[in-house]
Formats: sequence, structure tokens, C-alpha cells
Amino acid sequence: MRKIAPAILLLAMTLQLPSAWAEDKHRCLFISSYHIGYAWSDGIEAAVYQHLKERCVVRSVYLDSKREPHPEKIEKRAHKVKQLVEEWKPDVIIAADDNASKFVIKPYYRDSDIPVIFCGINWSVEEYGYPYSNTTGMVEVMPIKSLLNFVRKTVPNARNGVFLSADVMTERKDYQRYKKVFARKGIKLNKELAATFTDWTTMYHRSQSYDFIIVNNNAGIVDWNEKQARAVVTESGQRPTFTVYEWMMPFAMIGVTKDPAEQGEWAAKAASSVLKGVPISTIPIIPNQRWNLWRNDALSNMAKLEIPLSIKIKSRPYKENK
Amino acid sequence: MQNRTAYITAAAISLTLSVGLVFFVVNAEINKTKNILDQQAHDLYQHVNDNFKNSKVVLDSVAALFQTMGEVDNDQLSQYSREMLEDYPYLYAVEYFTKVDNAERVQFESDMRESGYVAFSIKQYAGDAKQSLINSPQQTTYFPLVFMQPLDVTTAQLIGLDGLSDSRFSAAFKRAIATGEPSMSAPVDLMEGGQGLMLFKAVYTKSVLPVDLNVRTENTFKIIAVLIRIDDLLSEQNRNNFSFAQLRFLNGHEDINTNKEDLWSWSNGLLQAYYRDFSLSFDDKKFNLEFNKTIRWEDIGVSNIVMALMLSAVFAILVFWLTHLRLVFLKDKRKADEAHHQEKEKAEITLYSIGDAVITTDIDGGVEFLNLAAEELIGMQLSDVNGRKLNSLMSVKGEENPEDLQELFWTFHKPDGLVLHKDPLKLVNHHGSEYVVEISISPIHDLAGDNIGFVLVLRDVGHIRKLSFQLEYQATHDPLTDLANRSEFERRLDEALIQSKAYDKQHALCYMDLDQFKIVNDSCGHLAGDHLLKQLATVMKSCMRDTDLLARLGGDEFGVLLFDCPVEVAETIVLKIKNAVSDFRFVWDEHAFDIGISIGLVPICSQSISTIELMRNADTACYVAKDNGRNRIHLYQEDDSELAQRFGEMQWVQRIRNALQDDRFFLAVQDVVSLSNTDNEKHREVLLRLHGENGETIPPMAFIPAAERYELMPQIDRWVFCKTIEMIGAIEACDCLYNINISGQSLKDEDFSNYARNLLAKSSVEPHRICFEITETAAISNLNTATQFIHSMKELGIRFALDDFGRGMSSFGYLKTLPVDYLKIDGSFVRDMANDAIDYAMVESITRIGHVMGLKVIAEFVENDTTVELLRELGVDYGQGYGIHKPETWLVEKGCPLEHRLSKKAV
Repeated sequence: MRKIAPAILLLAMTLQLPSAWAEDKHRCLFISSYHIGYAWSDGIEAAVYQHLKERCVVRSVYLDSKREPHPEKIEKRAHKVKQLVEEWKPDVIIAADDNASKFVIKPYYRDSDIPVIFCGINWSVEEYGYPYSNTTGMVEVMPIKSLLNFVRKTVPNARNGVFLSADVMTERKDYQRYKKVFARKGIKLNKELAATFTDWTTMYHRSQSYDFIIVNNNAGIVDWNEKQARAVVTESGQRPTFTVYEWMMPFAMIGVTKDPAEQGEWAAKAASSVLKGVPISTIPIIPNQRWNLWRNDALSNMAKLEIPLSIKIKSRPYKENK
Repeated sequence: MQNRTAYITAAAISLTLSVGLVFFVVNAEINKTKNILDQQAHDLYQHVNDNFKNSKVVLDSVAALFQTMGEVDNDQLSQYSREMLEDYPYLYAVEYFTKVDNAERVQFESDMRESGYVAFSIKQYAGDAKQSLINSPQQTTYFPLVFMQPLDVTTAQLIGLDGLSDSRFSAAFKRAIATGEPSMSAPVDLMEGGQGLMLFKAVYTKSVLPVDLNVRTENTFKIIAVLIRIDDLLSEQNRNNFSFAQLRFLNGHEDINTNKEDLWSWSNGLLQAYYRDFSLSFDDKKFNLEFNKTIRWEDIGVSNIVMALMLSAVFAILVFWLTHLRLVFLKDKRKADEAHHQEKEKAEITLYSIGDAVITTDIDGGVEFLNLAAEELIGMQLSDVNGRKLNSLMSVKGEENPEDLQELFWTFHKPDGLVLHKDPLKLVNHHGSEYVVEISISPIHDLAGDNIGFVLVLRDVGHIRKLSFQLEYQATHDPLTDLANRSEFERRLDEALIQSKAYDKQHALCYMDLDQFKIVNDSCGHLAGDHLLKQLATVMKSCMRDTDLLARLGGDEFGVLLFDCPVEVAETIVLKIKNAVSDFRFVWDEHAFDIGISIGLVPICSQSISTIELMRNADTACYVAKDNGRNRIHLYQEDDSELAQRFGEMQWVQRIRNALQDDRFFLAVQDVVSLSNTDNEKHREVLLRLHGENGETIPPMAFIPAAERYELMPQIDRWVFCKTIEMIGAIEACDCLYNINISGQSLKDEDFSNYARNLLAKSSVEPHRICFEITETAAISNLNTATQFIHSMKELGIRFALDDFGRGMSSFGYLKTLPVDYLKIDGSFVRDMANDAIDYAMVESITRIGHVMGLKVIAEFVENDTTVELLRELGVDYGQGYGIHKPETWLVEKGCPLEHRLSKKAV
């Protein structure tokens, strides 16, 4: 799989070659940190295309950093992207998710003449030194306050919760933020960070002793077994579970998830404004503003948990095949 | 030219009224449009008002959210805001500012950056032209904008903007904090264009509004804001109905004319025909909502204008039609006037032309019109009498009693038309001239039926009456003698008979016939006869009483009616008349004639049957008198034998007619034998016979007198001639001469000669086989006509014999003028000539004269051989009589059967 990745990238790049008629239009280069088929980045890309198709020719490149996370490989792909930028000369670059900024924008286009709109960067942009003079964008923040509200509505007397996630840096940062927010409402939030699926299973079982469980990202658990994970949750899940990631909805009863389309839409609108001549410096970096509310009735029913009516009304039922 | 002017006028009127109508409709449509616009403007005003109110509601609801929940999750607020923005599209954004004391600013900004607003800081406008934002300087309290929905790339930079220090918002902020009520900012420019109004509402840390202003300021922790996009306050659809609509912000001052600021204006029109404004207020802000509309054609109901144009067209057509009708009416009226004038002219000319006098008066008899005849009748002209009372111009009198003209009017004052005064009136005019007139008076009525005058038609009947008298006179009098004529005589006779029957009076009737009158007439001409009649009339009249009536009944016949006259007196008068006539000697051209008169006298008494009976008796009596020797009087008496004979004759009249009709006449022939034996031509006289109703044979003397007296001889002569021609025509190789007797009446009948000529022309009979016998009396009585007849017939070859010669003792001089071929000696001389020397002498003389004149002489009534011998001695050429040949019925096959016997007798 890893051997054919460059070929897929090239193929993807070839498929995205602009046609001759597009020479007169603006050129927008979309740099995806991941690959085609990754739901999150696919959502961003789709929104970008939808909002920019009338404004410019969009060309996409993929760093495939999710499937090929080795830095050297990512750097090589980033370099090729740089070559493409030099050849194609896009009028604006949209960098989706962290690795695009980390491996392409920061090393090659910091304070350059090419406007760059980033999106999907988790919480802090400090790692990449943003904002540059030629950048703006939307950071990806967890809907912690919203999640807290739903936790409180679901478990009114919640005092002790757990944050179950992969044991990676990002999750550790997220835990701190969660902990801080929850603490303001008098809720103690503990952490269970798993490096392996077995750990995650063990931790999940252990988390059943808390008032609620925040099932956070599983990204980073290399041996993640989706099927078994579902079986564990189905068999053992007795406590209210919450998540902010859509792909974790099979393991949570209520989900407040980010909307990748908001990231792509914002990036596209910002790029469009830049192409119209709006100084990029006047467009501030803002966090994402809207969330999707899901409910997993199967899990809540098995746990005999009554989801509050206000949540039922606002939420969309999560289905297994989604 | 007049028509053209009328049509032009009609066109002008049509155009004016059409334009007026269209203007009216357009104006009505404009008013209608204005009313609609008024309603739309009011709706828009209400819409804006409602939008302000709804904005306040949104604001209050968001504030209440914070007021009740303390902290509101942005995501939750975003969703709520999106719903609000969808429901209220004129709301551009929902925002809130959060209170940050200066001491908390660093931590606050750090937290915001931590939450994803990477470059967050509390900011304010730098005040430069670029509208750049800078970090807010140190101040006690800040109200940075921390939430904005929707948040887009152009407005995102406003996150962190300190509302409290913003000059545009600070006053409204403070007002919101101080009042707890929504406050409104002055209009602000929106970053994406257009203007907006910010509504603010403070949220206090405690739900209850603090009473103290300082506490309110202290407790305020959020300022909720909604941004109204002014352009969206009015719905686009409704706003587009106007050319121009604007919401003028008055900065709190009422005077919109001097101190107003345009919030926005929107215009798509040219003229401002419609204007309407409304005042609105929110918080301390005053607005004037103004609408303007240039009303254009497309705004007006085209259908109504089209309808108006169609109506105009219809109206124009109507006006033209009415104009046309009026012109036609005027034309017709002009024609009618002309016709009326012509009729009037005709009527006046007619009135002037007619002979009747026509006068019209008013109701009081004042003269208004006279035609020419009336002017002549009255003796004055219309111009002289106009208006004068008619009875002052003339008077009328009845035949017996005077009539008052005015009374006549009132007598005739009837509403039902013409009234004719029955009797002629005598009119005396102004000059005293008199006329006999008939007057008809007709009242004249107006349309209401009221009498307004009279029309008098006066006919001068004086001449007519005179003429009438003349006609009456002529009808009753003989123009020659001025005596009453037959009809008048018979009328008077009727009266006399009626009187006799009624009053048992005795009158007498005389029928008088002149003797010898025809001789005078024929020998001296009609003029002489006329003179004779006139003179005799005078003579006879002198013999009568004044009361008696003398009438000429025809020819030489007279009648006398002796009124109140017994028969004895009548005989005296009649005798006097007879004697006077006998004594009268008529002299004409040196010829003197003695005239006699035969008179039949009939008494008229109550037993008299009828006028006809009286006249017949008188006629018969006269005939008897004449038959008895002329110049005598015969008094009719009952059982009068002579009269009985006369009556018998009269009865023959009808029998003769019946016989002609039934073809009961037949012919007999009697040979006329030559006595000299020198003439081989055979002669035969055709004799007439009649089969009686019972089959008996009736001799001619039984009916001939009656036929002669009653003028039936021409018919009998025609039948004889026709039958003779028929008989002769049936004989082959006839060498006889047939003698046919012709009466004196046929001689006078001019048509008889034509009849004979035509009949001969159609037959095969040779005219020289025909010999007409005419009596001496007939010939002499009608000498002229007889002469003409003989000449005309002899031209055909017909011969003539003068029959009964010697009976009338006529002058032989007549023979010179009568071109006859034979003389037939009257049988009375022949019959006894053997015994009477005078008769013998007469036969001898006549024979001699005849021969002298070159005529053949025939002797009739030869009854024996002695006579035959004597005749031969005298040289008489032919002999005829029973002694030679008795008449026998003429049968065609017999040819000439007697020739042999005659010869034998002659031997």
C-alpha cells in the first residue's frame, strides 16, 4: 500500500490537471494533509470545491500523512508540492489540516507572496508560527463548552467524568482543555489515554465507573480494531458516552462533532475574498463556529439511558452505515 | 360645406369628450393607483414598524437567554441566531458584547486566543480613512464583541471591537445600560456596503433591573445586539412598487425639511407624481419613511384605458351618428319645409285658382285669408280686410229669411268638421253686390282639439242656378215652339190624374196631329215646317186658358191639358183650336197651305186608370179623327168601336214581333202578265203572308196597317227582301222580275239601302231581277229620301214601280223627280173601269202619262177578262189580279209556274 501511494498521488495530481481553458481563471491549490477517502479531509475538500468552482481552478494535492505519517516521506511529498506551486503558480493556496501547514506552508511559504488559507489546524497555530503576513484561516477547536452543556443536560449531577482517548500529544492537549472547562462547572475530568487497542478496551471497561465518558479520538491507536471496539462498547457500555469526533460515534451515545465543511467553506470564502483583492491581513484567524449534534439511539437504548428531549430534538440519529 | 362644418364640429366634440373621457379614466386610474400605492406605502410603513418591533423581540429574547442562563454556549446561540436570522431576513447579525474590566483584559484576550481567535485583542477603530482597527487603549471597562452570527471573512475582524468606546455605539450602549431597554445606534456603514442600525440591550448579572444607574452599569455583563440592515427593512417586492422609497433618519429632530439625513434612498423613477411619508420612532431615533412614485402608463390599468378608448370610439361613432342623423333630419326637414312651402304655394295657388271663394277667419270671425275668388266676392283685397270681422264685410240672407253670419258660425261651431249650409244664401258684399252662394263652414282645430277659427267656402251658385233653370226649361220644353215637351206634358198629366183621383176633379186631355204638315215640310223644307209649328203653337195657345197646358209631343203632334175642365168646356176649347188652325193659312215662298188638325179628346176623371191609358186613348181618338177624314175632333167614349179597332191594331204589334221572331211569315207570288205580248220578261209580285198562332193564314191587310202605324215595316221589309233573295238564289237560271213592296218607312231608313246592297253583294242574285214597289203616298211623303233611295238602288240595277198610283191624287209633277220604271195604277180605278167611266178615264190618263214619261204601266186588280181587254185597248203594259193569277205560296221548286196559265188566260 505504501509503495503505490506516490503513484496514487501522481494520478490524483494528473486527474486534477487544469484544462487549457482554465488558464485565464485564478488558480487555487488545495493541499490536503491526508488522502482521498479520508472523511474529514474529503469534507473540507468538497466544501472548497463547492465554494470556489466559480472563482478559480482548484487543484488538489495530497500529502497522505495519515497513511504515510513518516516525516521524511511527508517532506518529500511536500517538496513535490512546492515544485508544483512553482510550476503552476497558484494565486492562492489552501492548506488543510496540520501537516499541510507544517510540511509545506511553514517551510516554503511563510510570509511569501502567495496568500495561504489554512484550515483544520487543531487549536493552536503557535507550532507553525501563525499568523504570517500572507496567511489566515480557521483553527479547529473542540466544542468543549457545547459538550459540557450536553453532559450537564444528560447527566445533571455529573461530578466525575473520564476522557478516553489515544495516547498522543494532541489528545493530551485536548484533555487539558476539557479538564479546564469542565472544572469551571465543578466537574472533575479524569483521563484514560491508550496506546493500544487492548489498552483502550481495558480503559473503556474501567471507565464504566465514572458518571460519563468522553470517547475522544482513537487516532494514534495503531492496532485499532473497529469491530472489536464496537463489540466492547455494545457489550459493556453502561455509562453515558460523548464524543466530538464523528467517526467515534459508534462508541458514543451523543456526539458534538466538528463540521469539516465549515473549515472548507471558510477557507474557500477567505480565498475568494483574497482573489477579489481583500487584504489577507484583514481576515482574522478564527475558530470553527458550528457543530453537528448526533445521538446513537442503539447505544443509549442498550444502556437504558434516556437522552434529554431537547437533545433529541436538535440532534440527528447516528446510523451504523453512515 | 355645412355638412363638413357639422362633421368637423362633431369630430372636435368627439375628440374633446374622448380626450376628456380618457383623461378622466386615466385620472381615475391614477387615483386608483395612488390608493393602491397608499395602501402599499402604509403596508410598508407597517412592515417597517413591525420589523422594528420584531427586532426588539429578537433582542429581548436573546437577552432573556443570557438573563436566565448566565452563560450561553456560542454554538447554542449560533443555532438560535441562525433561526432568528432566517425568520427575520432584515436582521443582518446577532451579536453580543461582553463586559471586560481593564484588570481582566489580558486574561480575557488570552482566553479568546486560546479558544481559537488566534490574534484576538480588544480593539477599536483607529479613525483613519482605511477604517483600520487597533488595540484599544487602556480604559476602565471594555465591551468587546465576542459573538457574531453570521461570522464571515469580512466581519470576522470585528471580533474584539469595543462597543463601549466606539463613537457610533457608545451612546446607545450607555442608554441600553441605563434604561435596560433596547436602544438604537445611529446608522452605521456596513462593511459589505449599505447601512445598518444596531439595537442594543443590556444583560445584567441579576435578572432584576437595578434601580440605581450606577448599579446597572456595574451589573451589566453583556450587551446583546442585533444589526438591522436598513435596505432589508422594506421588502424588495413591495419596495419595487415605488419609484423612490427612503427612510430618512432625523437625528431626533422633527423637522425633516431642514435637518435630515438620508439613511438610504432607492430610486428607479423619473417623476414624483405620488408622495407619501410616515413618521417612525425607535428609542430616541426618529425616522421619516418616504415613498415616491412616478406613475407611468404601465402602472395604470390598460384594460380600463382600452375600454375608455373603445368607449371614446363608440362615443365618437355615436356623436358622428347623431350628427349624421341630425344632418339627415335637417335635410329631411329642409325638404319637408320645401315640400311644405311648395304645398303651401300649391294650396295658395290652388285656392287662388279655384272658383270657390275661400275665407279663413279666427275664432271671432276676423278675416285671416281670402283667395282671389273671395276677394272678388267680397269686393276687397286681403290686405284691406285682414283682421276685420267678416260680418262687417258682407251679409248673407236666406232665400226667405235673412241670416246672421256670426250666428252661422256658432251654429256650425262643431268639432266634427265640415258643415254645409243646405240652402243657397244671398250674399251682399261691401259694395252691395249680390250673389247667390252656397256656404260650407269648417271649424279649424288645433292639436288639442280646440276651435281656433273657421274656413268658409262660398260657391257662387247664381250661374249654376241659371244654368239649372235653363236645363230644367230645356228638359221640359220644346226648343222650337217653347211649348212644354212630351215629358213635361206627361208629368203634368200625372199631376192632373193624381188631382182627379184625389179631389175628384175633371180635366181633359187632347192629342192633336196636324194634317198636311209633311207636305209643307217636304215641299218647303224643314225650316218652313218649323215656322209652321211655331206659328200654330201661337195660334193654338191663343185659344186656350192661361191655366191650360199646350205641349209639343213630337213632330206635328201636340197635346193639351185642360185643367179643371169638364168635357163640355173642353170640347168648346178644342173646337176653338181646330177652327183656329183650320182658319190659319200658312204661306211660305209664295206657297200657301191650308192646315188641318185632327184632335182626340179624352176626359180625365177619377175613374181614369193611368197616364199611359189616357195617352193611348187620346192617341187612338186622334187617329180615329184623322182616319175619319182629318181636321176633326174625336171625343173618346167608352165602348167606342173605332177605338176598339185601333186597339186591335195595337195588339198586332206584339203579334208581328212574335211572328218575326218565330219566322211565321211566308211569301206568296202573283204573276204580273204582259198584256201587250211584246215583253217576254216575266214579272211576279212577291206578297207577304202570315201564319197565325193557330196555323191559319193571315192576309197582309190584317197586320200591315198596324205595322205601318207602329213603325214595324222596316223589319218586315228586310225580312221580305232577304227571303226573296234567298228564294231567287235558289232558282237556277231565273229570268223573272220579282216585285218587292217597300214601305215608306224603309224609304226613310238610310240603313235599308245598305242592307239591300250588302245582301245582294253576298248573294248570286242579279239585282236587275229585283223591282221595288213603292206607293205613291210613301214616295211623295218622303220625296227627297225616296228619290235618293231610288237613285242609289237603280245604280245597282234594281228597278222601281210606283204602286197605287192615282190613290193619293198627287200632282203628276212628282213623277218628273221620281226615276221609276213602272207605274202601277191603283186597283180602285182598274176594278170598276169597265163600269165607271171616270175610273176608265183615270186609267187611260195614267197610262198615257206613264207612257209619255217612258214608263211601263201595270194595272192592278184585274179581276176579269173584260178588264183585261179594256186595259189592252188602253195600251196598259201589264195586268195583275185575280182575273189573271191568284197569289200562291212561293215554293222554290216551282220556278215560274204560272207562265203557261197566264199565257192561256191572256189568250
